[in-house]
Amino acid sequence: MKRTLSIVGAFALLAWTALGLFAWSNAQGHFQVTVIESGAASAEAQRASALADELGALHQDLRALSTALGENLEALRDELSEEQTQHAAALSRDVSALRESLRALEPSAIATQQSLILLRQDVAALSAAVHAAPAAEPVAVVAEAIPIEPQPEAETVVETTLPQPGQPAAQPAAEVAPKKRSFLAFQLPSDDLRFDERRAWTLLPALSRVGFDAKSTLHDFSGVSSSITGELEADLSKPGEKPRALLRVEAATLKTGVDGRDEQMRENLAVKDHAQITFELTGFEATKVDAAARRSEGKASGKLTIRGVTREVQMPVQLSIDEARRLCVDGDMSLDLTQFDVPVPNKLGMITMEKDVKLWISLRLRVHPRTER
Amino acid sequence: MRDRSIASCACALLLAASVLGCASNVVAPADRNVRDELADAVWRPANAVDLIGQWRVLSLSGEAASALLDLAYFIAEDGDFSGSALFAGPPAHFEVLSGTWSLDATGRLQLGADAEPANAEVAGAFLRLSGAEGSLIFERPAIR
Repeated sequence: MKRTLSIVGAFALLAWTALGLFAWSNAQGHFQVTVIESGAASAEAQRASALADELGALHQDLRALSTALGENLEALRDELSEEQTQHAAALSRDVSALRESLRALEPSAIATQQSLILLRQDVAALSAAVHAAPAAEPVAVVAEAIPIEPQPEAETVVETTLPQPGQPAAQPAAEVAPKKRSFLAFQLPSDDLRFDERRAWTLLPALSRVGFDAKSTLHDFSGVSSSITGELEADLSKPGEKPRALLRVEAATLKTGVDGRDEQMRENLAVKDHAQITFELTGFEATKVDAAARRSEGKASGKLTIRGVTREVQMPVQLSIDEARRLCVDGDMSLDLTQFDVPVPNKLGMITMEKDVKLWISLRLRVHPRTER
Repeated sequence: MRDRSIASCACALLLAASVLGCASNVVAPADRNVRDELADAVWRPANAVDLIGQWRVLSLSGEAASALLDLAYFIAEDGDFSGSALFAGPPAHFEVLSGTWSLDATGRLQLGADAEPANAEVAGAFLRLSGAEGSLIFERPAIR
């Protein structure tokens, strides 16, 4: 028993010691022990006092600097303000002088503008004169028609506008034509359609008709068709110089207003075998040419083919340009149907048609756009 | 007596019928030209509502006819417009432009700031613009 108690007492002592060590090890991280000597505190206090003195001196210096800077800025502002006032006054004087100069220049500017307008009108007149003049003598005609004022600009323009002898009159004028802004908002070239140059034209079927007027014992009648295609190429001021044209009419589309008569006509024209009536222009003998009015008259010669039979014919025609800048070709001629082997209708000897009919054309053509520059 | 009057009436009727049947049906020289259906149109000054939409030129006259091959406009309700023109050249070429349009009470149409005003008139479904360089008639394009 005694031995047991001593063992328990030894264990208890060991446990107490272990607990003490454990508690010390936990507590030592939460405590700091500082050792201060008694002379160090007075040294720190002296250093802080010196710093405070230096800071006060710095404040005083800063105040002095601030005061001095403010005075300098005020002086600078005053100086700048004075300079600005002087500069504005100088500018005002310059503007006034400029205005006076402009006022002095205004009359001459107006005169120059008027001169330019007159010059432009002269150039336009020259261009029109060149257009209207025959191609063989373009320069001479222009010189007689429009006297050129001795202005250097005008001479320059005229030199570039007038064609050289031997050159076609059309090309240079078309290239330098001035532009203007039209009511369509686009700038349209000022050169109008010319009568005196070789151009290609395309027939407008919707606005063209060909027909014939016939006489019979019962009553007179006409046959009309708008089923026409064709082209024409000519210089309308010189229509006799190698004109070319080809017209094609669908024979079955000729209408007289009476179905039975139309049926008979198609049989007589043999439209199943010869669907088209054609005319090929081979020459033009002009009797009247008015280039200014854009009109000419003459006799068109060519090969007319009806029912497969071709004959040389001549038709007096009038050529003109209308408001829509279309070429109008109108004409008529007498034609003997028997020359083309066309049977002349005859109903039991009672109703007979005359073998001579009047063939007429009313054609409208639109100029084909140029492809060359 | 009665038989004679009936015979007279029959003869008169036959004569009238033969005269009517033998009446000339020849086209007069003045009527040989194709008649423009718009020649008889009654034009009135256009108002803004008439102009809105797409237009394509139908006929050209005047200087514009020698300069242009085709012309189209789109006139928008918000005051903008756009146009395209095919110039004859040479060489033939397209030009396009856009801008703003305005119309005054008398039917004067201003297409863009720099252009001369056009006289705008309508007749049915057609629009006519006229100015110093000519007169143009437009229609609504019907693209299929």
